[in-house]
Amino acid sequence: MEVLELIDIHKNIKSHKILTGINLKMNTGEIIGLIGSNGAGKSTLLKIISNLLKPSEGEVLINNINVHDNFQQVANEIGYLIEEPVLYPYLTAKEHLHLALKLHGKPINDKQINSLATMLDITPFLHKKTKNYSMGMKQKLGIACAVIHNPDIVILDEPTNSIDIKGINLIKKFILQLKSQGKLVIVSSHLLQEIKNICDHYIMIENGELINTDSLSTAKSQQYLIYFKETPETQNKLEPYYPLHKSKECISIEISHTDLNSTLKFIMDNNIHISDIEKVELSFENFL
Amino acid sequence: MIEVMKIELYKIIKSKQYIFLVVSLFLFIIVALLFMFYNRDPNEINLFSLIYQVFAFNSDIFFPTVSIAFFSSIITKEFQDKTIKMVIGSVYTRQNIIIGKFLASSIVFSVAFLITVLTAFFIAYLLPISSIIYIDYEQLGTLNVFGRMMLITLSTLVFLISFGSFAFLVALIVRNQGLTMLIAIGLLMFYILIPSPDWLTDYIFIGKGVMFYTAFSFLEIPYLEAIKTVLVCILYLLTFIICSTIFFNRFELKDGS
Repeated sequence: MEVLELIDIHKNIKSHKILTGINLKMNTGEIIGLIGSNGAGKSTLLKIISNLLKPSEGEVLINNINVHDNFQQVANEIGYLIEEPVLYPYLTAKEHLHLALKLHGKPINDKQINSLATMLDITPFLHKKTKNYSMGMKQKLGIACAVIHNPDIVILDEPTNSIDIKGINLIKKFILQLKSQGKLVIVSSHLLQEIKNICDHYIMIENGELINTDSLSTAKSQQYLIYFKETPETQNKLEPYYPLHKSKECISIEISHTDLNSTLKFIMDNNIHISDIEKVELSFENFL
Repeated sequence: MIEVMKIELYKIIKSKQYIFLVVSLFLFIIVALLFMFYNRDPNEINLFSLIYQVFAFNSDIFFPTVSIAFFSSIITKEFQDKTIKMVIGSVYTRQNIIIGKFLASSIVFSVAFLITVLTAFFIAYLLPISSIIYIDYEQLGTLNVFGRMMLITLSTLVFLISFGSFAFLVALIVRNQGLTMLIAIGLLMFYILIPSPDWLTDYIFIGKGVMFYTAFSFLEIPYLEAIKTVLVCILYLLTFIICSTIFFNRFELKDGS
């Protein structure tokens, strides 16, 4: 079900164009990976969706309600952690979660708080003031505050910042749980490696512009290297159709997921012997 | 709005911002009392003169400074800690957020002010500290004196809260505690050093503190003048709060903030 729509979003600050003509539709029960280099416009876009910034042009619709004209009507549908967790140093984690519930006009539910604290592994710190927290702990509490009011859309900007490997896996698991509850989760990162495997779709922003999302979605972690024994016959058959990479005693071709079937068919038809197939680990830089 | 006010009261109490308020108010009152203690007329213990002098000592600069510092800190701390992101993502309108914050700050300020002023006078009465000037206490009568005490305290409170609302607006615009203090106290000092022309004095709220302790020390209280001055302060207060809500409605986070 479509829950979020961005229509021709532009953002200019003075004469500088931060975002240009962003159009997107997103559905519930999806995890969207928003990727782009630092300064590409990811956080600006997330702030516009969260009503922290107003677009210079365009509309953000949540359940067909304009976010910037009627934010109070959709405030309970959206939860966000943008850039860094914002916490009151004099409050404990539990008090933060109480406050987050009160700010969304929801009754305090200690059972829900305890269950969320267990999922995010913050139970031991629940009664400690946040001024003594490590950055990783603050990050987890920030995520808890973003979702405590049970929103349909969860926006997590660089959620794995300052978090160790164990914590990253825990957050990934938590994000998948949010998806299973039917929520739309938008995760931004400048490191594709961090969010791959969990995202259903990717959106890439570079210099404030949206790069073709479909091709990127298809391309996610699905580049393949096919290796062959280096023989003149194999080389002659492949060379007219594929750029060849040569290494010690073998040649290889690099293909995308979309070309995999046709390539395999070509190889079978031409009776070429495959030595090995390797799935390529894509990094964000591969897209630039 | 009531819900926002409760949330803000909870935050002020949890942050212990009221401690700074109580301590600084108490400090200024104690300094005024000590000044009187060392300059007293040993034969004269006059409660009303004491009240008069405590306010005369503090109402022009010190009390407004405390008010500016307290009210502006409520706003600037939210921006400094970036917790404003959490607040504006709530279900409450920005207008409600600003008014709720202002009401909560005013309640805490009023309670702290009343408690410190009354406690200080009680201590002064017990010690006993006397005033360096003489106002005919016996002629006024005890009930009359207490009534005047309350009127001075309450009207000064209105004056200080209107100062707070000014600091509130400046803090929202500049989002920096130091700069807010500089602007608000600078304006106060400017008014003290370069008084406005007579025709304008009635319409400026800044120097109104002096009006209250003076008016209520006259044998015949000029009630009309006092009420008019209170109304000028309230008018300014409302104007500053309306401007704050308009400004906050247009507010958006800067990129990177």
